[in-house]
Amino acid sequence: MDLDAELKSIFFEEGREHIASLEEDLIQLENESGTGQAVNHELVNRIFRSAHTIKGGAGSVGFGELSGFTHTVENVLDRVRENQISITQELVSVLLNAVDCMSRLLDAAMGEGTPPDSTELAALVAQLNSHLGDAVSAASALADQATEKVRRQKTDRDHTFAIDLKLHPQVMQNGTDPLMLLTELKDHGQVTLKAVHTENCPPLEQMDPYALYLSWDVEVTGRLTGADLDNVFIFVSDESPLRYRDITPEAPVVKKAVPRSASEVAPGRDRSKLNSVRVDTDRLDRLVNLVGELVIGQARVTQTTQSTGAAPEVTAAVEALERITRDLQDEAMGMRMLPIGPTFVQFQRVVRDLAMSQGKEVSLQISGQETELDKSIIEKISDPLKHMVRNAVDHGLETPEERRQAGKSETGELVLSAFHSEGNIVIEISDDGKGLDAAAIAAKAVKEGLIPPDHTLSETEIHQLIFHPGLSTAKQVTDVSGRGVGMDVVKRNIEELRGRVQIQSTRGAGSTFRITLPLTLAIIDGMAMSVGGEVFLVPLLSIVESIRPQARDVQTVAERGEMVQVRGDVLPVIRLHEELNVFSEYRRPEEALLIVVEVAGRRYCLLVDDILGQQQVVIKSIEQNYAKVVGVSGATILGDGRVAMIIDVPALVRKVFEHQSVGMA
Amino acid sequence: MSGVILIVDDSATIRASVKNTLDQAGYEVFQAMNGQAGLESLKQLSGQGKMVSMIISDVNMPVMDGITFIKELKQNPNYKFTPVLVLTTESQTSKKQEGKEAGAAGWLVKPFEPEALVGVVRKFIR
Repeated sequence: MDLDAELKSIFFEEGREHIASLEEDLIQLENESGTGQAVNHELVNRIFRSAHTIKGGAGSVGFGELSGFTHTVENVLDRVRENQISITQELVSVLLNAVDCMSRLLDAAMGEGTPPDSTELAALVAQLNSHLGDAVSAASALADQATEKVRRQKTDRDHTFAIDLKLHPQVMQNGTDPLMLLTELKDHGQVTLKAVHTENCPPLEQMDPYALYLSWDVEVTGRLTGADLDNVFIFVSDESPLRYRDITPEAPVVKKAVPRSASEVAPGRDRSKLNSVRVDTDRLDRLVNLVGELVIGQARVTQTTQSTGAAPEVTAAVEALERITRDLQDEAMGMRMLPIGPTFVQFQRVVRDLAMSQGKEVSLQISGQETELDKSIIEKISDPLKHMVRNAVDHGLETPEERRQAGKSETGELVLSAFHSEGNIVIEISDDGKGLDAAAIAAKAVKEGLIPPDHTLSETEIHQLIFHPGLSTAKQVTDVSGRGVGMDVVKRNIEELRGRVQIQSTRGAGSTFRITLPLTLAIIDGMAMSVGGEVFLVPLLSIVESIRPQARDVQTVAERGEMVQVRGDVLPVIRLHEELNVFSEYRRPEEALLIVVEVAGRRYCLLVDDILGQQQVVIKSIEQNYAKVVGVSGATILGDGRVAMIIDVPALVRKVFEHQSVGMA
Repeated sequence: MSGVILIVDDSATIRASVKNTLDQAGYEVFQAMNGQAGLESLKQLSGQGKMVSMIISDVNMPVMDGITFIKELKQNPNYKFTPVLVLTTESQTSKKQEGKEAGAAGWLVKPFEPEALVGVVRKFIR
């Protein structure tokens, strides 16, 4: 990457961060101003600083439009900072729109998305300027910038200037070295010292070693103008204005410009010590893949030494290597971990806008922002989460009027939290709204023919129906949610991440959606099963228990296939050897093993030959190397070098039961 | 002769741009995110036996702003005479004056051309 592109990518990343924090802070500002608190200066300053940083960065990397537009935003924020403009909801809305525009300008500058058109920008600039209360136009912003680019007039012949070089006595106090100024003068031409004035020097005992008592008469000849001289002495002329006059003789002096000083420094060394480096995420992914290969290779070495009975020294060395490999794996995985916080924070805006448009009052609480998840999981969970958050505001929470009638506070509570639990990450979206109406959902499902009218589903099972395609309980279709698509996609997205979603809802008191996700996608905790001669892995997250049934517990029910009774529940049996086309001698459930798995709140039994044990394996994509196989999420290489398929339990269940309705129990 | 320069700015873009430019001009550049971090960097660097010959600092930064940073700096006899250049923007003309009063030796207006930065730095160290 060349320097320019590198700079742009740094700016892009930084700009994104600042735009996100602008949104968050503006919403906080609005919330605080609504409560009648005094203006939070720290917050306003932070907002100003974010805009300021974006403007400065954009200018530095040559994104003029973004820089100019942000300048207008900054002007308004400056007035807010100076308490000249009060904070209203309207102002915050305009500022939020402006932040959206900045975000789109930033994307467009990086060649993504479409930029806002000029009329849209102009309208926003006008809106922003109307808050300034005086005639500040966008043109002045551009003029400001233009004035900073001082165009130096070039001269075509040599000039000689006589300079009365008398600097302020305290000029050296701030680190200014008069010698450096004379050296700089030499860059512009030939410098001749005419006189040194020492008359201001005090007696030695009164002399301040850091004061300047000398002054000089200097002449400089070269292709320079008065502006060049002003520029040389720009930082010292405040206290003591520099006096000089052009004494160029009438006839042009024939003299070549003095070559630049020989003290030009050698270019390009980078020895600075940094606390962090930026790494392209692709390289990080490659590193993690390589570490995955290493873990597999390590496992093979370990297994081989064990099976061939290696010398104790070899075994000890291999064990040491194994420890290092495991540490390396932890480190590499850790590099991909990011906190969930920024994802949560972006929902503040979603909640605010939606609540405003629906006339609801919502307070969003966020906890566990520091919980870390694999980068690719965060990317993929963001959209499903957003959908669920919108659903909670749209369907879950009531209007202030409805809440008052229900005896609740007018402001609805929405809680987003993330935490670790049993080696997984749990994300909860919890509201204190009206809860799911099980009767309404069931009625709708009966109407749609999803379940028979005489169903015997429990409340939890009915709640799970909202994940079924084509079922939505919204009384009216809003522009937000409620078109009957969504929750099924949400569930599928979560399952693709090998996670699961559970609902806990009480009518009238609210709902909690609990999403359980694996820590990382690259590694899976699996239970190895043998089926025929093959080994398959079932993700531990899906497994509830394993049982060996009695012959009398197994029965075949017409149109529902093979069922087995487990602690009073009747669960469908999926014969893995049939589904995966493997020949197995163990065909009778009472001779084989049943693995009870849970998918979306329902349980199924997988018929396998035997359990081989739990192990952590590195997932290799089949889709990338071969083709998508329904019911298999990937493959892994076992310690003995054999390839084992990893079962995608939700997909397998869907494949087996896609022709049946969900209503069997 | 080259020198060691510390750039203090909360914007990674500005830091990277200053560092790139000055690296190429042959200076050794260290970075800090705000005034407080700047003071700590100076302490660390002097611990490694490095004396910073010039400091370039933004004005508006979180944790510790540039003006406070310069004032703190000037309390330390080691850096009393180290030239400090403040980075300002066109909307902060008053900051130039404030910076000078705090003890800055000069200023540079953002955004700047690389040549302008090198030109200003060369006023103080070569």
